[in-house]
Amino acid sequence: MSAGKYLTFKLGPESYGIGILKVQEIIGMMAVTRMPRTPAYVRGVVNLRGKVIPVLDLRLKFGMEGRQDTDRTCIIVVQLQSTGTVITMGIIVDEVSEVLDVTTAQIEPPPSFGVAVDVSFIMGMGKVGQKVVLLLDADRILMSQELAAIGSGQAVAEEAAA
Amino acid sequence: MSGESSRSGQTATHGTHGDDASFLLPSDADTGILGDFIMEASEHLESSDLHLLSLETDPGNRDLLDAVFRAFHSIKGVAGFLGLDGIKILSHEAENMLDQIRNGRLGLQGQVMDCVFDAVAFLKKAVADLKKGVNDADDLRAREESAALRVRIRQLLEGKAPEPRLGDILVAAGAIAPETLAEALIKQAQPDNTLKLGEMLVESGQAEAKQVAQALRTQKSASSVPMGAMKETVKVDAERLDRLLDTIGELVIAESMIQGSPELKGRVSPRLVQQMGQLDKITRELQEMGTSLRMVPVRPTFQKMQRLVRDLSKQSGKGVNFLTVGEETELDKTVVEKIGDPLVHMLRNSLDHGIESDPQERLNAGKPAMATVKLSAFQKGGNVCIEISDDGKGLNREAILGKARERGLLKDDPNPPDKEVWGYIFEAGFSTAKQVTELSGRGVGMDVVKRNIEILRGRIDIHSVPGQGTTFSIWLPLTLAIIDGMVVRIAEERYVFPTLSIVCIVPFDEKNRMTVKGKGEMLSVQGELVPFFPLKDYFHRTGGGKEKIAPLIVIAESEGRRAAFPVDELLGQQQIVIKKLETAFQDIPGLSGGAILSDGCVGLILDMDGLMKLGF
Repeated sequence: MSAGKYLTFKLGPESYGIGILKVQEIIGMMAVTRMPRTPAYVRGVVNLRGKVIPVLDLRLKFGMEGRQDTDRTCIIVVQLQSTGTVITMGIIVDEVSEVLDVTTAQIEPPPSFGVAVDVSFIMGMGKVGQKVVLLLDADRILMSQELAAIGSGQAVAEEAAA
Repeated sequence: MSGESSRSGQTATHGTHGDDASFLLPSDADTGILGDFIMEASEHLESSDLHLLSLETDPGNRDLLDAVFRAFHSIKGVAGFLGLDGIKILSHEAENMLDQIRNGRLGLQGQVMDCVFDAVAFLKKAVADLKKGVNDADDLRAREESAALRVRIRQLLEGKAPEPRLGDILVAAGAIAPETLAEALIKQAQPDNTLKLGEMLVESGQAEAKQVAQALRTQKSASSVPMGAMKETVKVDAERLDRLLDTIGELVIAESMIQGSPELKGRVSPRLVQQMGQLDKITRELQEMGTSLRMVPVRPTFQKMQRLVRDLSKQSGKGVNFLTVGEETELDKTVVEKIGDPLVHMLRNSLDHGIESDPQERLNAGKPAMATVKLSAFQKGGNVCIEISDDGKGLNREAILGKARERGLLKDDPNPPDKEVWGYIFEAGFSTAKQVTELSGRGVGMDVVKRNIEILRGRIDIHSVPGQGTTFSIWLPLTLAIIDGMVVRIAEERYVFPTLSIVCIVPFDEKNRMTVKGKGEMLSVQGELVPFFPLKDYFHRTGGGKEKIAPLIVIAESEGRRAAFPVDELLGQQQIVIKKLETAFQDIPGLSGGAILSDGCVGLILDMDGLMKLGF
């Protein structure tokens, strides 16, 4: 369980936190170009100052219902480690809240049930004052095999064939 | 140098400077140290030889170069201490030269490389002499050799590059044709000839005296440019360079967005227009400069080819006059690096099979006994062309046709045009040893060559005249980072077709659409049945057929296969900067990258090869 600063954001009513060191920047919602033959949670790609980066819809990724973008919808640009390489990608969240300092004592192990989220992404629950924040393991949001599956288009192709 | 002068008293009999530096062992030398020196120096020189050999294949290896430098440096030091002035001075000069190489002011290749090798060989001999005891005859020989070697080093350091050849200048100026030059050179090489090239050309009326005089002046001015005037270069991390280019690209887009913004359009003032014009000019200049940063001349690659042809010509015993033209032509660094292998292959083909092995055969055909192979590069429009031409026997149309017929490659036309016939030599498998002899050899691994060129987004044209020779023209884009693209709209998304792949664009007509059993939907376009490929259904699995079909059809071609892609709208043709997609998306079949369009959004570049392979 790593203590430190977390950027918190909201997906529906719940608060989530992501290690601040993983975050490159926060940008407003912009026009996203759909990528063909990718899972639904891959919203597409955007132009980040000349670099084309993928953007994931975290709601869909977490199995929640999709929602119309609002003016509070943001893209958090994160840098993830995947099999030795650094990947820059954006994750779409409902709104960005604040940066929270979380100490080791405030972190509890993740609940085994009762959350809308696949628990493998959750490192723990931060309880700071009245707030409860689900702390995400950014590097696992997209695990390596999933990345590989997107890359080859296999998962989709199989899905389509079935 | 101060140590040198303080010791000059002790070694007065052995001059410390210049050509009289002795290779004799001074009488007061410490024999204990001498033994160590001989052993150490031999080891250093031995390893230097190995390092240099590796450097020949890997010229950028800094560690090896440093090791060679250190070897000379330590030999110089100990030799100075022992009063071995001859060895010291030569090592010193060699060290100077290596230092220039380390600084990048001198390239470790060609004459310079030979010179370093010779310096090592010379020192080896000198050290061996020391071991057995130097006598006066050794000393004399060593002095002469050392003097000659030092002159060579100094010439290289001062940058006495060989004068450009008069013939090349004349050809470049368009005064004479390359063929004329080749003939004249051969004539000139004949033993009974006493005339100079210029004189011969004027005498035979092939060039005007005025042109030759002009060329001679050019030659003089070129050779008098000192090496010191060579451009200073800075090595930059490729990633930083790419980032710079990205940022410039962004700037260009941001600028065009401002230019087009409706808020500005409303309040135009002359001053604003002028300032915007200025901004536009600067960004464009910046973009041009940015693109040119990645450009390097093809010269090093051409020089390598020169060596290759020399070796091949020696091996095969065929006399070849190898000309290179346009070495200063610039190409994207990546392209230059990747063009080497295909060139090697094609030159080898030209020499092995293109050129007649019997000089008599050439003479009978009315050609000079000495064959000419020319490698040239020039820029035309947004492309660079590299041409390999030989004056050999040309491609054998009948043999290739026969082979193609045998392999069932021939289409309906029993007598296809040349272009199609030559195309067959790029077929995979047209190249096994048995076929080589039947086919006058052309086509050895040509499929690989073609593929390599296509990876660089280039193409090969062949021009061949029986008995007169063959020319392969490789057309390459100036840079890999930019393509000419047609932006289209398909549903809500924008895609980019590489303009090169588009055959034609026609309006969609329902009555041309038909379903062919076993082949799916086809479209009849100008009498030809082309597979119908709705990208929308394929990419987004909308499952089609029922909806209204897009009004336009883009017929695109790749690898000789065609397909019809319905599109909703053509948005225009433009230069597209290719952006790599994140690793996760790189293998999505049918896409080769992303492009940032003029409004700052991302469009997807279609990979025609991939799509064609997918569809059928």
